[in-house]
Amino acid sequence: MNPILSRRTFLKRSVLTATTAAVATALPANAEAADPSGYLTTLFDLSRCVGCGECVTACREIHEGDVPQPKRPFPTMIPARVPVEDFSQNQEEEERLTPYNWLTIQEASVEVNGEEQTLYIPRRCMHCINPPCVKLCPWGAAVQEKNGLSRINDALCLGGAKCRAACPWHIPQRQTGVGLYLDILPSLAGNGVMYKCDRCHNRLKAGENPACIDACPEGVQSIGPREAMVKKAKALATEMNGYIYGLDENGGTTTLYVSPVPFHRLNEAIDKGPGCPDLAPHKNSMAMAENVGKALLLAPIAGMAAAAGRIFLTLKHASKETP
Amino acid sequence: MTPLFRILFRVNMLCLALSGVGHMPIFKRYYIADIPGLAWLAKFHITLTLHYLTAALFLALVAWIVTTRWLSAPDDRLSPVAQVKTGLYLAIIASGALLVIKNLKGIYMPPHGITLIDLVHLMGAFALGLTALAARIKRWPWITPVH
Repeated sequence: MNPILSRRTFLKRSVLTATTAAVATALPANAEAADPSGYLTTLFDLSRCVGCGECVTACREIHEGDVPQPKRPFPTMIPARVPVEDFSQNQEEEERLTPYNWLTIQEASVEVNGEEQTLYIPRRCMHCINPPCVKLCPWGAAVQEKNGLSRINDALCLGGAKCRAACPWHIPQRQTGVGLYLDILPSLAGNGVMYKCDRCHNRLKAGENPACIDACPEGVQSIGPREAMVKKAKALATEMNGYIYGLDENGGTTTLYVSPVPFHRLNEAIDKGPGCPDLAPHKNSMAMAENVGKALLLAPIAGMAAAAGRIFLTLKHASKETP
Repeated sequence: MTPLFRILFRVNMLCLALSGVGHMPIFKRYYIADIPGLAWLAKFHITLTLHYLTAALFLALVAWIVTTRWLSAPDDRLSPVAQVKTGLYLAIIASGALLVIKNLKGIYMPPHGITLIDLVHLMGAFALGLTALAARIKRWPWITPVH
């Protein structure tokens, strides 16, 4: 340490350092811009769904121009164990989620009030409040809009499928042989593009509802700000003595289901697997990033305080020794 | 900087770099996660947690160095390569802070902005690694005396 540093200089610089630390901490706090209670949320009343599939058809029609048009032959993948995922030969598949089918209907045969009954559950992206697919995408190809919906930018996605691994329901589906990776290192990096429901973001921007909502003849879905939809879901659940899915799953989603049957029973009854998401409870996969993230921004202050404290003690010790 | 501090800083940087590269889905693809003991490199939530924890330690250590240097007013200055490394550290820290904020609930950032921040963070880390390697080979010092 420089012996000519005076206590006055030390104090001046300490004040400047503390001010810098305070400003650095305050700036991120002002960056919050969106209110999750206002995120656009859809509510499914499962007691109304008859499984007619009109929503699936409407979804496919409206996204006809958004689905992949892969180039053949596909690049030779290196290493060879990298899987080719090709749904282009089976584009009509509706029994599961695929790059060509962003909405599917699951069936659950369960007993309701002593009677065997089949419930139909339309499934697509849950549009999480804090979506891990968006937050963990290494390129910013998955985005969340101001109204809370999440979507994948097919012009930027490299098809690494991290979003599918990060999603508790493994919703996004990959098509090989399409997208940006073909122009970079097609054999060595990337593997296509990921596809999922984008909640008809273009229709929403034009002031229209998502196509699946308008196409439903039974009025299964309603849409509105999350706070209002949660209120509506709770009232509906009370009315039918039912249950809600999506309130807390993965930290809360902007898709809510209300069912007369507990969701753990529906989860047991539905087909699950690739492209067929479960209805299990899921803890908030972004909890660590939400909790540790705030603390992380305070780490520099701890380092500054420790260093300043050490120097202060050294100076104090030196001044005592000076006659 | 004591030898212990230097070792702690370097080990932490290694963990930070490994967990950072682990954000890209390449460790599984290229068999690195198949090496016994490295399977965690393909588990995104583990690499994210490790990246956050090592980033916290990194920020605290950097703050310690900067504060100590600032308050003790040494009679030397940063060498040219140290100035380049400092600039890269600043870019990585600033972009990292924005990415941490992005990961909080209820945060909106424009899509192109996120891509830009991601690229600055990634390219900054690669550039820092290359600069540090060159400095090590050429034995360029961090500080030079003021004449």
